[in-house]
Amino acid sequence: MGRAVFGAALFAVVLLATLLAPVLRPVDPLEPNYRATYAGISAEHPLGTDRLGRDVLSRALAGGRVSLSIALSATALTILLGGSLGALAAAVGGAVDTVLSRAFDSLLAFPGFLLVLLVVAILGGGAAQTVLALGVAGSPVYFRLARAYARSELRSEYVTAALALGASRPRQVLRHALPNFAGSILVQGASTAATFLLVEASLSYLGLGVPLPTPSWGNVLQESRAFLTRQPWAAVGPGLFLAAASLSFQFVADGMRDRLDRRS
Amino acid sequence: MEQARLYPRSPQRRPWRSAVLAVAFAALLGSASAQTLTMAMAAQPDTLDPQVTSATAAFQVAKSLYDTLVEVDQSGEIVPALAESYEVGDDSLSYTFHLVEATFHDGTTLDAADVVASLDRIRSPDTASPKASEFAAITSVEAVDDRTVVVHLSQPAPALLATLASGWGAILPSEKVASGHDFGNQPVGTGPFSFVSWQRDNAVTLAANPDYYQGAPQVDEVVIRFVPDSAVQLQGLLTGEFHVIDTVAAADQAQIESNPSLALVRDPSGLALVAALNTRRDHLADARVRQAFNLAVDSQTVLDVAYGGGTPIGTFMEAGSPWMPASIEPFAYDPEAARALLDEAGWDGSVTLDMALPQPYENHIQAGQMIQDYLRDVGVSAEIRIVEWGVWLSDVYGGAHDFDVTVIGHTGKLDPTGRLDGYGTEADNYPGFDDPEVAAWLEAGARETDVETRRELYANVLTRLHEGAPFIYLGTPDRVHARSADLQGFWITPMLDSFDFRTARFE
Amino acid sequence: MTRYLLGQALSFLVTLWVVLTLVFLGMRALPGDAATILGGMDASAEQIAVIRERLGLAGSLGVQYVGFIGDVARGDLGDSLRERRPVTAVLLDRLPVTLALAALAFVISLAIGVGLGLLAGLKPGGLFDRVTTLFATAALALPEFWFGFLLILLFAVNLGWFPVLGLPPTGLSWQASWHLLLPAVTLAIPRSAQVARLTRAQVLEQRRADYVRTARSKGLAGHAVARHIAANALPGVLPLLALELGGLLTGTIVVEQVFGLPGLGATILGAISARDYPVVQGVTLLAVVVYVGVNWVADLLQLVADPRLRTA
Repeated sequence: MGRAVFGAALFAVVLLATLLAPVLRPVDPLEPNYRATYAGISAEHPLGTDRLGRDVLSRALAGGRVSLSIALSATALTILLGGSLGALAAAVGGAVDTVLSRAFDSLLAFPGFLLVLLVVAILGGGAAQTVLALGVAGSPVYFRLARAYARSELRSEYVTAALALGASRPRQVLRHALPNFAGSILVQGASTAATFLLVEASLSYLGLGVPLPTPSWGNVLQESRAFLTRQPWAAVGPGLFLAAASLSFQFVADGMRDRLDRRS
Repeated sequence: MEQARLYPRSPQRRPWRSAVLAVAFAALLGSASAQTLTMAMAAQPDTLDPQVTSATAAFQVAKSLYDTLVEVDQSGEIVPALAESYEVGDDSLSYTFHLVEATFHDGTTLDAADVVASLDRIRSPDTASPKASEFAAITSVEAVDDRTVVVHLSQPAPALLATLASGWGAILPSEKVASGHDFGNQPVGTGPFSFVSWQRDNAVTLAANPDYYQGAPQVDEVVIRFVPDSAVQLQGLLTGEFHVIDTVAAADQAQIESNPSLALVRDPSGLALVAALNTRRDHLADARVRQAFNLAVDSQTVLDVAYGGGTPIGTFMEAGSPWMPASIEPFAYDPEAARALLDEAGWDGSVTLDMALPQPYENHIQAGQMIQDYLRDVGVSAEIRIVEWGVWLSDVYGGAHDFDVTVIGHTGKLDPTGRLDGYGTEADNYPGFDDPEVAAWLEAGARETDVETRRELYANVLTRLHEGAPFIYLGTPDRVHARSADLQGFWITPMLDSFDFRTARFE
Repeated sequence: MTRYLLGQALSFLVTLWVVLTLVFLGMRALPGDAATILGGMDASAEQIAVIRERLGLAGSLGVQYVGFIGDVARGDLGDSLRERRPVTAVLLDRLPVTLALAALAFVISLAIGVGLGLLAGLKPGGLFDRVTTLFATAALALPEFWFGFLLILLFAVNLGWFPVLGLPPTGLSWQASWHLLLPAVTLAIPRSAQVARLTRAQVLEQRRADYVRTARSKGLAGHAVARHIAANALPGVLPLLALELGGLLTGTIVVEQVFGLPGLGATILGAISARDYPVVQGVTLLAVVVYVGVNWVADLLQLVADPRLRTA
């Protein structure tokens, strides 16, 4: 439990830092300064400057906003997509169930990162495309989860009774199954968010995600790679933020998983 | 001193001493023989067949494997090569080349049939060479005797020698051309070095050709390694792993210059770096707006920061070119004048320009960001869109020309037709510059054989391109490479940018 | 059992077909094709059309698709549009690097993961256990490529123990394993965390088993009991190891980029930007086959390890 709290706290810190960045650190992340390129750590630039003289710290914070919003919206999308289709498959059953299950199984059989890479590349790269690709790639897990829950709920006694009394199946699924999967979904979701954050960073690093000059944690790291030896803080700094955010999600997931295990 | 034995007298009898002596002996022998020159280059060739590619990297390596009828010397002049002399027919419709004595790497002798086969092959649709149009004026190639070739033209082509001096004018052995040999993976030419191996993404190994017609090279082996990262190239140079590197980041130049065991070489390149403006768009149709953009950008700073130094230009021709009219000055950096001119032209401040930048080119992306900044200072806003190379070629440079501004470098050409062709007809150039007079001058210039008249024609064209400003002229960047101080005789071909190891030696 | 396998095989072929079709269509939906790129900035539109014809890209989409599927069915992956030689040759050139990297990373993650998992599980709640759990969580959260940067900065740049990037000039050889060590460690860290976790869980489960209590009550020494526990825990970890291997074989793309290694990752990225359709298709095919193949092995190992799962 302690870990979940720590994780949540860490996440809150990172989130607030990135959201409040324009206030706390009013330096334009896009503002170049050709006389101060590759500058090291200083009072004016706590993480130095990059190859165009832009402040690395504000780029890291601004990049955080972009990366976090992509990761979180992709997580929401994937839960919605997988979850709703899973519940649907369970509620309706029959051919719909078989087709959907097969489709998601096929999706699962595909090597994850490569799938996202190809989809984003084919869609032409970009933030929205990344969200879409991640949302689709992550959905099989939630499909299975939602379907399993919905099916077990539908078999439970009180639902059987309700159905016998004439209630509709989908409504029963919604009313009864939903609150129970909420816990599992939160745990899985936190873990998914951590993964998506890292995948988005990897995609942007490869040049397929968020396009420059808009900073995201991934493309800022990619830019810094060229002068890794000259100004290492431009690489280490944003990476620390990324690691902190990812770690906080993992801690939340772990902590909540322990708590749920203990309860059941 | 105990003699080194092949086999030790007995296993216990200190065999290591003989081993040490054997190694020392071998090292002594070794250092006197195999001298290998290792070079690091950033890009990698797609093929080693000079007739199916347009990639500079391919020609940089192919330079050592093949020769051309004429070639470019260190001062940029076109001089005889495989053709020891040539004559132009009275009507300028034929060129007669007299060949030197040379042998191909496979042992066959160079003769006129090889020239015929090579020139036929590059013009053939089966080869589908991206450079085929440069040979368009050729109607036929005829072998008069073993050492004489006549090239017949449909119209005078003063640019022909420039084409024949370029990498794609390479002469291939006719027997192999006839048998459909895979030159792309097993190149065979008359060049100073012959092909040993090509490990993709790693290195190309070449061995000296002792029978080279200009004299055997002074190094035994050349290994060209593909290292895309300039920091790694530099590290290799510092440790002695590389003797020459082709990519030097602006920030590393000082370090190399101050190191006594290294040498930084700075030559003028043939590139013309520009930010193209799509004149088809309403808001960019007024020449005053485009001139204002030129005044708004400090091109020297852009050259220094994004490209590691260079010389600004005032029109669409590389700095220092003999075709550049003396009267044209680069635009000054004058934001005040820019603002005034924009006002005069009635610039609508609500427009946001669409700047499309090609993804693989970090320096163009940097320059684009700097230009965006300069434009912002004079009240013009631009939004940057990084575009993948394939998309850039098909949608920005070609196709629908989907851009307001884009930044790119135009490689040096040995003849002004190479650079200026099409720049008077809106459909034939990507900024959409349309001027019937310019089109007429260009057409005349392509056929004009009198040098002075040609010079005047192109001077007119370039003056119009300065006044009409379809580009923000950035400049000609320096071609910077670094080598170890003991390496002499290596040079980079002017304009063509290929690597010449023929006179390379270690002092 | 056979029905199950046949069903799996069919499902796999269908997935493969769908994936290849999507890649085929998707790549061609991207603006620009190999002919445009090969033509470069100086070729005229007519020239590009000639090149397109020569590359076999000029026919109708349907014709090209049918030809493609037919070729793949016969095992012919076609020729690379950019390198103008068979795709299989292109893949074989780069495969060894990726294989070597994945193998090295696998061995390292195995050693570290199983080792840590065993030690942690045998003394649950102890300091070692807590440290391991913490390490595992942190390792899983770490961005791979950033960790790679750190390793480069520390070991290659500052300490100079390793070369900064790339392979040695002679290509892949035994010397190259030194060059592969840092990238292999980068890949191994998050995976060893997974393995450690599962191993630990397996060990804990074994500890609760009857035979352990029996052995202890009979007076068997601590380390002998531990050996029995370990031996029984390990089979349960095998399926995960197989999965990890599959993930490694298809997941080296980013690390290859960071360390400048010319493997399959670099190949597919380059092929996408050069619109080299046959190579993209070829690498995808290879990746799916390998990944699914390894997953099958993992499933089979699962059945072997836990007889309770067998239904046939």
